[in-house]
Amino acid sequence: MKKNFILTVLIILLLSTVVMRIAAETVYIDELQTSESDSIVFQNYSGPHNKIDTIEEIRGIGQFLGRKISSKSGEFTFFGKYNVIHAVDPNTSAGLDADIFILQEAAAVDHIINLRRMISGFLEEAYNYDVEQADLLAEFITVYNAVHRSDLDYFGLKYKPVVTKHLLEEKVGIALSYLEWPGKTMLIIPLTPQAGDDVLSDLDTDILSDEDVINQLRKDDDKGIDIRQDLVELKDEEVLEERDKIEEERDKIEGKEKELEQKRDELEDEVEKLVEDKTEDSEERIEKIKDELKDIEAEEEELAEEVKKLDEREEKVEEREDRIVEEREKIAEDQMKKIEEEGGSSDAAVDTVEKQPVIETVPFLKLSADLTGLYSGQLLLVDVEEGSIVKTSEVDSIRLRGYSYDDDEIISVAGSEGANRIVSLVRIDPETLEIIDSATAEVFIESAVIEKSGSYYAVVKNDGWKIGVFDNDLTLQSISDVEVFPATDIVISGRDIIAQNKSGRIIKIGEEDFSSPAF
Amino acid sequence: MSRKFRISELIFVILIFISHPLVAENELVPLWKYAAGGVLVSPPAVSGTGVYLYSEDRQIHAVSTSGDPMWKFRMPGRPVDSLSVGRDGTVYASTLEGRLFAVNQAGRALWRYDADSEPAGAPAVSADGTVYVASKNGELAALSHTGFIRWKIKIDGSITGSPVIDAGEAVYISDDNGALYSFSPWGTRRWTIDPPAAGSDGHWTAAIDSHILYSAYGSTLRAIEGGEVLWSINLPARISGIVIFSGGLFCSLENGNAMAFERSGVQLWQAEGSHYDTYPVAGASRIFLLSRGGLISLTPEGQLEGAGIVEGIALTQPVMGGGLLVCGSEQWVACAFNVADDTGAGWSQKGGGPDHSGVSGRNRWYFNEEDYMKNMDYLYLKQYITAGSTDEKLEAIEEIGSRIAAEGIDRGEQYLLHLLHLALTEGNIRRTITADSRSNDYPAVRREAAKMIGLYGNFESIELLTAVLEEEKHYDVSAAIMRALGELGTDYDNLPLISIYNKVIKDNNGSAHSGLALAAMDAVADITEYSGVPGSFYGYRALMEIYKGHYSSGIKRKAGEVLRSIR
Repeated sequence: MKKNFILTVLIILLLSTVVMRIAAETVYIDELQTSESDSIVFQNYSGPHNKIDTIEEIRGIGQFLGRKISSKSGEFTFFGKYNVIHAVDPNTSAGLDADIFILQEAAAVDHIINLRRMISGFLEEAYNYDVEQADLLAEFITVYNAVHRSDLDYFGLKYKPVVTKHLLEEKVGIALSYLEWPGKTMLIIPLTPQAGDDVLSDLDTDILSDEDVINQLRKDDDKGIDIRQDLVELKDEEVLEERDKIEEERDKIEGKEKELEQKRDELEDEVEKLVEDKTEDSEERIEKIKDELKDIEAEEEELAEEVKKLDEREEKVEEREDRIVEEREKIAEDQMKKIEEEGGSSDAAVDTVEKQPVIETVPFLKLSADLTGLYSGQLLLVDVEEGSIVKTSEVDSIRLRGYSYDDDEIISVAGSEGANRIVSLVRIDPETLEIIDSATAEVFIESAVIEKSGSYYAVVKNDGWKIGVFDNDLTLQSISDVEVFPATDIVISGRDIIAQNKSGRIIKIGEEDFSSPAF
Repeated sequence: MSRKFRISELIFVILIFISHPLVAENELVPLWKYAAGGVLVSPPAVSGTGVYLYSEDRQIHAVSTSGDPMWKFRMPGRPVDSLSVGRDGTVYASTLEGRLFAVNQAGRALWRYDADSEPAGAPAVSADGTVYVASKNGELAALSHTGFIRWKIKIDGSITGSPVIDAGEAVYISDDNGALYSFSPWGTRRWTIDPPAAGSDGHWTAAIDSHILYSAYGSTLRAIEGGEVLWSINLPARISGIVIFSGGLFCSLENGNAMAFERSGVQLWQAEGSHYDTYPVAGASRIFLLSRGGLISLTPEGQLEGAGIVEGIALTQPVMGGGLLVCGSEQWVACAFNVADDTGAGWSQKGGGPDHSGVSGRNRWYFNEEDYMKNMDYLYLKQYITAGSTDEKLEAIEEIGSRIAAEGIDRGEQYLLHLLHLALTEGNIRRTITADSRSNDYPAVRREAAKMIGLYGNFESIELLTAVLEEEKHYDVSAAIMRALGELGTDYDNLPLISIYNKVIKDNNGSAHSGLALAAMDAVADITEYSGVPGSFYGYRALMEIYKGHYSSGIKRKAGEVLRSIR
């Protein structure tokens, strides 16, 4: 009893020491949502996986769904994890058609890059975009859906009922955090009336780059200049294609008009001759010719209507061209600002070539609570002189207790549970803060990690929670025969290990009590 | 889209920096950068008035030589490689549909010419302001700087590339098989040279050295003078660009190599590498190449001297002028580098064309009298101009005007303009009017000639008009000359406004002739409006002289109005 009390106090002291040492404040993940002045930053999982899909496999999911798309409405699924609803209604002219790309509960995608790859694969197959165009559009689709997340009013105004009837407020669009993607994501992909007609403009790129989206992109450090440029160039190609089509149709109409004119001339000449003949047959023939001339007139009127429609189309193209010019001007303005900020003169450019002074940094673990209430950390490099953050790691799932570092490496427990994700040991480069190695064995989320003589000791899952021994390559070499309390402390004494067993009792585990792991 | 490509090319350029010991010490750093709203569709045009860029955003951007934006002009059609700038700062550019616009220094359209097809390249602008426009349908048109069509011809086949003008103002074009055509400034065909034997691929580029044309078509390099092929060489790959430099002739090839030749065709050196692949320009005793990784400078001996990074992958041919080297990149940014031009050559357009520096004086005619000696029209009219009575001279002038106004193929009006110049100066300019000279004085003829020249003249006409104005005694002739200067519009080298100002001062100290003052005011207003540059010193001073001078109140009131309008 007394021992348990002392142990509890020690643990509390240890925890509080760690907390006081490494966290000045806690930031809840909710607060990472964009405020008015923040740019959109997707929060991705950056930790170990138990299964890693190749890029081709990820794109393949999208391609699989893309192959199902036809001209009719329908819903298609990839093994119950990813669905697409092709929502089109050619009988309704007001509003947009759309594809709705849904992430179901079982969806394992946890990084925005992979989600974009999936969407890109879908667009490639469904609408014949080339890879670069599909990648670009996929990026805009995710930003567009993040900007308009949960905005049913917006979607109600823009899209046809065939689309909006499927939408749910808590799911429409995409959340910024990957933890909220499975089962709560409906990505809207706006389609033009020409979608599926083997044209460049299957997707409505004007909608995807509306003012809200562009304003968000402009909040990024680089003001989204590169992708805005790429999209404007795609729009120019769309406009060019449309102009060529209009030109083609005008030529066809002109051809038909000439044919009709010729026919009319021939018939009128015939009438003249028949009038001179003045026979019974000729009068009959003249009447028939009059009917034929009426038909020609009707056809000419139809052609005139088509010309009128082409004129209207051309007017819309010109308006679109004007808008594209305005977009280009805005991009140029932002580019000039960036050039001025970077110092576009030769003096400034020379200054940047000079060597930067060496800054001494130290890793720091910034903590926050995830949706499960557990603390996870994000590594930072902090300037020891200024106290400012020099670099931030993408890895944000460092677990509280398992964290040790020296000049060469940082070993930690990182990761989260779900889909393909696991919690395991990772090795992090202390300069780049990137994961350079990870174990594949599942480690307890709050496991202690101890290093001795090049081996690492942590609590692993292997037919129960047990003490696992990892070599320098983070390969699990052996596990204890006895199960332990998963949050146990691990103390190495000589060749033995002192830990708590499953019932909470302090035990000593000898070297002989370890054996190869069961796989 | 092209992000992976850009990264790899930037790495390539960085490797150049690391690998070459000279590079770090000779880094070309941009003097300024300008975001042009799109990829440049044309090489930039550089003149003393500024730097001009034609971008995918369908606008012509005018930027000062120090990188400050001046104005933009929206082109009503799809942009195409077709940008030039004239000596007086007038900018010329076409749309894909063949519409050529002349834009003044304030960014306003002066006139428009509608060709029947897509331009073959940028128009060439001669020293006298004539604009030569080549179209892909085989048509070559010569336009005055006021947009008047001097002549048009059509060859069989399609024209490829921009026209090129030599020191004698002869014009050269190539068809898409590589056949070369030469035309006189008045539209007559001088000679034609057959395509090279090596085959055709539709790409032509050329450089001029005085009267010698260096023509590159496919992989064939030829030197041509007076219609004769001096020499012809087949190079190992298609020639992407040629330029004349101090040592001779430099060619960049599409296989990434570069070769230099003496003007006689003897090879000087060859540089092998993967980066000498395109777009050379010469100046400041160096050769500059824009390769995909950036800007490279070579010595005339072919040594790599320095390099600079352009914002992203460089795309458009660099152009040099006034100590600046300007090029555009895929990232929609134009970069200007300070490359001190120690040749004193002033500005030049792409490919190292002829440098038209300075005014040569009124005796520089674009006219070969020998060719037209047999032309009876010319002799007939000249006879009337030089030896006829006043009425006969006036009739001849009217006849000349009608002929010029009629659009004629193969009937250049250059010699007709020469006749008008002759009418303006024929036998009457004397400082002292004697009994003999009075009988040779035809003020009416000069007046009508000046009016006609105002409609159809060129830069050379401006020089002549200003010279005549200086000596002219008759007010109505002086007034006609001033109005003609106003009609011609351009004020390059300030010649028209200086001469008007001098005349006004003289007049103000004399009889203060109201007709003269009115003509002066109208001319200053017209010239200011044409150039788009407000508040010219001499124009302003001329108006102030009138305002303060011994003129009627009505005249002074008008002077005040014009003063306010030109500010």
